[in-house]
Amino acid sequence: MARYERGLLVLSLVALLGLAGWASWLDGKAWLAQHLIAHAWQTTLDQGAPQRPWPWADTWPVARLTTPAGKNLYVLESTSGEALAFGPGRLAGGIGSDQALTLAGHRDTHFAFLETLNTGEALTVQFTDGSRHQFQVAAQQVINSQKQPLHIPLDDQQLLLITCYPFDAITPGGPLRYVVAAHTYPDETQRDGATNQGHSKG
Amino acid sequence: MKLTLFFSLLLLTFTARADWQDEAATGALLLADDRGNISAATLLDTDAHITASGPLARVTLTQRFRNASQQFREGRYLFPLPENAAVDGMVLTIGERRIVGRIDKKAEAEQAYRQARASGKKASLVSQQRPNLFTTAVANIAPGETIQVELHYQQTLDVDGRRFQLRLPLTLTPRFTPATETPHPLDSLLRNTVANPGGTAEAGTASIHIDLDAGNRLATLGSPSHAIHSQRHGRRYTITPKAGPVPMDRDLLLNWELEDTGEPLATSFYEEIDGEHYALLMVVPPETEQASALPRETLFIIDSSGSMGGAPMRQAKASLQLALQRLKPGDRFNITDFDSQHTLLFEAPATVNDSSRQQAQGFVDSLQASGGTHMLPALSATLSQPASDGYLRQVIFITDGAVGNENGIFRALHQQLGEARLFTVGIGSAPNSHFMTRAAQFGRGSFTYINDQNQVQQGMDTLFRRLESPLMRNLQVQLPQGIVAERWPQKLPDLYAGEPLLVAMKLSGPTDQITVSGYSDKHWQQPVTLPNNSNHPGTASLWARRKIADLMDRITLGAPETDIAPLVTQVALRHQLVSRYTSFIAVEETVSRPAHEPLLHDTVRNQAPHGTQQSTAWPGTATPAPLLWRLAGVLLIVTLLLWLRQRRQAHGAV
Repeated sequence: MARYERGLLVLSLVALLGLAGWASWLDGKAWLAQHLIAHAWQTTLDQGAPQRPWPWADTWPVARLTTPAGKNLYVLESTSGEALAFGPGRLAGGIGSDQALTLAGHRDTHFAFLETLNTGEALTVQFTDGSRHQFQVAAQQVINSQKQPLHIPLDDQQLLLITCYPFDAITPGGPLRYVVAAHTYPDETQRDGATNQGHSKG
Repeated sequence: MKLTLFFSLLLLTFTARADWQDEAATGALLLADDRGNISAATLLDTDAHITASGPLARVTLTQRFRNASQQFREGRYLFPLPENAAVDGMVLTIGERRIVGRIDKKAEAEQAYRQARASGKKASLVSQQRPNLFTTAVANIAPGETIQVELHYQQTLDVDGRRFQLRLPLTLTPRFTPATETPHPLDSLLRNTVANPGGTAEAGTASIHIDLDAGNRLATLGSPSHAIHSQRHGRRYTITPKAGPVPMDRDLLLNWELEDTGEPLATSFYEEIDGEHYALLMVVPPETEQASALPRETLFIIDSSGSMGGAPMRQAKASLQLALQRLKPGDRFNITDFDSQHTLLFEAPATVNDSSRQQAQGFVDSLQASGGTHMLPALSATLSQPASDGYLRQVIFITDGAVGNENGIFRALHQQLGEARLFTVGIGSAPNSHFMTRAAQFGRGSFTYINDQNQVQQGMDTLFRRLESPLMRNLQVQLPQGIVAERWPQKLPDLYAGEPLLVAMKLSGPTDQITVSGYSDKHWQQPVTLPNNSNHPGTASLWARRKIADLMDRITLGAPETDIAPLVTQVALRHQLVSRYTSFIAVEETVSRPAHEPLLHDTVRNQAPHGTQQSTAWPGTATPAPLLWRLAGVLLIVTLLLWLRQRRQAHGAV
């Protein structure tokens, strides 16, 4: 009897360590990769050529997104599951594109900040050519991805951020998406005052 | 428990790849304000007049809307053009007044629209939203007023051998695009808003009239969607639906088939604009059951990089396995697999026999998606294999198109492809399908798109039907003495079964006679009389579109956009084409909105039904980490309970 229970205890302990290890691996990877990519990003800016963050990577940084809190996120080329584990991914838009810059990220890691992002707040995007663009959050929306196909507007003045919804859901793979739309400021002169004009919508 | 985990991981993969195009069309036209609320149905009726000339159709579509609300409104109307269609004219009518839209450089058109809108004038703007979705914005519609938008577009039709299909999109469904609520100077131009799906609204009826000149006598003419009435006048046919105006609950499809004489058929179409002569040459292959006698060397390149992981890799492997089964004994083949490195199955292309085929099947079975996408070395290694004399070399490239250095690959193709044909097979959501299409065009092959495991069989069947039946090589077009032509494509592809060859030409002078020749098992030649006594609208426009596509490719190849943009703009303005640099604008002369009345936004949106458009798949944006942490938490409690219980038992024993 005791041997049976001891076996159960060991089994349960092993499973616990396994699960915790796996989860830490996912979270750790997301955290560590951003530091490696930060280095690749600096090299990209210096050399002006795409730079893989590690030699066997299937993606490379294409932009830097700065949150209102001043946190930097390095955006990767591709929105494959592999790339999104390491950072937010570029789905469309960017240099030379007419489409809205569309970024996707995991709700539980890089794009967790979207939950508290309010209308009127400012996001900054820097591209590989060093240019910086400021966007003001204009709207947030919850979309059922099974009912409504994603259609990216042909408007390079717009920034769309996509993540899964609800933020505190336990299982991945749900149909809901949280979409944040932001615009560039109308013109340079309005940029400075714009953050004050913004109104929060809770 | 493990099962649950794997299940949720699978779910994650599947959501990322889900297909949104399977939704049924609702048959409703929706009118929504900025918050996505349906307010009123404003489509009154639709009138379509179509002139079809061989593989081209010119469509004049007139749609009338009414502002049924009590306020001034701004409407936005998205029109789902069929594939390969381009808008080249627009007329806006408000009440008794008529405004002809003009084409302008894009920035100027948008500026004119903004000015008109701000000063209370009516304006309508069509802009190239995506290759087959057009936006019309209509500002300042007075309460109860009727607005008529007349759109002129032209398209190249779906062709399968001698069978042609014309599709007129008449069904409507909503589609999501993110909304924005803060006013912005560009707000009404190109930004979309959300329509409430499932909302129902009345849709009017459509009147349809079709004039058809197929280029030769027809074997059959009919419509699978509507009962039609047709009348013949020589080479021309007039077609109308029997019922008169039809409800807008399904697309109109019209099918016709040219008579088969067992020989290739060369026919032509002609258009003269302001003293410039344009001709379209169409060479239609005969129906044939027999495969070509030309021996072939098939080189496969398969992408097994990390981005192909999951469903795409399964689709790619299934496609390749099917292709291997179709190889004919005696032909030659080889496979290159690449991720960060590349591997060739055989050192040099091997003869197809049971043992080489088995070896290849084993090789494909063992492929695993991992690593990076280093396409260029793989392509070079494949193309630099020694050519087998007398074999027609065909390269089949299977990939998801997630390549970083398109330009480098394009250049490598220019330098190394030579006489070989390149066929691209796009797997998954294929963000680079534009590049793959152009690469296949350059390689005188075709692009096949496979988005689903179910499409593997059909897609590969179609591809192989083409590969196996090259009917004629070395096609040439001879013009009379003293006449030269700027022609697209510049490199004539081979004539394959099921695919008519189209050559768009701008001739330096009037002529009525050209000659087409080629080589199959013997020399073939046919004189073609240009029908320069009748006009085939759309011929010049097709030439212009081909020229613009070629110019845009030069940007891909590295030509500076600042050099190319003026050339594109010039052709686009001359031929009234919407391009990356040009759009249409129609502005009313008089002010219709009292300055104090607010302007509300209406959104009229519709959508092409299944299959005519490709939307972007939503990415999967959650990891299983929260689930794992929670499970770990539960296990922690279980472990502690077990441990406590054992401790207690141990104490009890002592």
